[in-house]
Amino acid sequence: MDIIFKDVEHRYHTNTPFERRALYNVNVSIASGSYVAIIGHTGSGKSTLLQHLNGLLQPTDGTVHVGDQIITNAKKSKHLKPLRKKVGIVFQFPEHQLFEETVEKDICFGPMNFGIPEEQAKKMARELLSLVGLPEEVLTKSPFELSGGQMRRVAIAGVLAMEPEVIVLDEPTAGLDPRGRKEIMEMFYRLHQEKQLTTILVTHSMEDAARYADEIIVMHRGTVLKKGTPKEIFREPNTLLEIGLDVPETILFQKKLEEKFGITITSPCLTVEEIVEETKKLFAKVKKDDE
Amino acid sequence: MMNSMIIGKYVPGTSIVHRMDPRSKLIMVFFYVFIVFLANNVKSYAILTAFTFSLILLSRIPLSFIIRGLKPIFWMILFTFLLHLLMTKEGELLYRLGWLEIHEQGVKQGIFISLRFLSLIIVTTLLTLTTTPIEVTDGVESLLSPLKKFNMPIHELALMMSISLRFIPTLMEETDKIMKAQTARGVDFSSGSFQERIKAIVSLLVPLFINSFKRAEELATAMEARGYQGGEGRTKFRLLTWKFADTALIVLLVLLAIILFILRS
Repeated sequence: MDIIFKDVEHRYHTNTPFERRALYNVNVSIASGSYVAIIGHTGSGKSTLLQHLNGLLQPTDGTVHVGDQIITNAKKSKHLKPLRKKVGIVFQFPEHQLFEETVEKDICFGPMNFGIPEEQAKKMARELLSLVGLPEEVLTKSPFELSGGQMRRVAIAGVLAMEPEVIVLDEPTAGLDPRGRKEIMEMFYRLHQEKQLTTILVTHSMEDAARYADEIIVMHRGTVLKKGTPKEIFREPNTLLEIGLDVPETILFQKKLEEKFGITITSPCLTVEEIVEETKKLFAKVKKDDE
Repeated sequence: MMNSMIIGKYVPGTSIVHRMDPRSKLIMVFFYVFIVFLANNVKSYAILTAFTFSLILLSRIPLSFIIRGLKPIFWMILFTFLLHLLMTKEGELLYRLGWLEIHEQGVKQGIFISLRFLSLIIVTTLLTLTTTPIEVTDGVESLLSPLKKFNMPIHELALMMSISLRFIPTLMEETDKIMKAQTARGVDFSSGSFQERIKAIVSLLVPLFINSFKRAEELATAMEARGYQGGEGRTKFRLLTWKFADTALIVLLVLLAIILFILRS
């Protein structure tokens, strides 16, 4: 399911004194099966943008194409339900959406809303629970007995249970400990690779964006500032720093290294492994020169 | 619907009514509710209506805005009007259609009661239109403070009131967020069978309650951490000042009551 935004504009509270333009002139496309990260400042329009993906918000102007569905201003929200099955959204702090008596029921809630039979949903709940790294005993527990991190995993399982073709993640690891963070990110990456799940990640972590994404969209003040591969985006760290965003630590390290030794490394290093490789080469060269 | 309701909304402004002490406005509204019932003939109703009208003018809130806001109550007024029009069987018979009879007194009563109703609603609405909720709370606390002598928890009541007012927008925001999250999980809040709707509401209310309890606990801890220990010896950030206009309002109110008392038949 390719996703295409065409001249999308969104205004909140239209025709009131509180009218505010949150998005304008958004033209961007996301290829089926890709992993895209959206980065941007708080208030840059990221959340507004992703709510357009399953019709929670409809553009006040322009069109959003999701597969063969076209979302415009005029589309009745009634017809959006099939779309919502295909696009799952994991909102910020998704544990706030848990409400059922047991974990199993809560995971089954989404799929059953979309007409999947109970037996099948239960089977899926079991499988997903191990996927998100929780023991099977929790199935019969109340979600409110679990720890914050476990609740997060249950909520994520609840969205994955709908078997969406596109998964949208709005800072899925905010507030988790470093280990939980890594486990969740790795799990989504595995899913993306195994099932060709189109993944859209909104994040403040430049490291995550650099490590996992095929492409990065930079949002700034309600519109798309830049779109490109991580290497393209982080090649010029200054543009990002100017608009108040960060760049991965490895890029900063590389920049310092280049300044200190007066060299240029051809491609930006996005992971620790890459920068180690480059430093190794440098050491080897220095050693050789010494001899 | 939500946009047309103006009761309980605050419209910022700098008019004399806006700047008055909330206490005088509260006293005025409280007694006005009784004074309204003094009017019972053409003259007294004319004075009452004129008084209400001049309050609107003084508040500088556009009349059209108030009229628009009264739309939801229009049907209630119309209903009471018709009830009086058709049920009063006194005075000269003006019109008859089958068993429907309209008498002279019926027309009069219908108009009077509608005017009474309107005056009441307009004046109470003016209070909230020109006074922020926080000011109302401060005013109520100050007016009720004599009751502290009888061990009534006035400060606590006022605190409860201001905390609830403070959290209304937060709750609205949260409702919106949870509704969106559940909609994304296939819940349909706007259609479906009775059972489905109940389920939809449950999926919204449970998280809302749980978050509210959590927030209340956090708020209590935060207040304690900042040394809150009840109203004893607390000073005020917003001081209420009784001004000339406030005295004038109360005097006018007393005058209105006296005049109505003399004019009533």
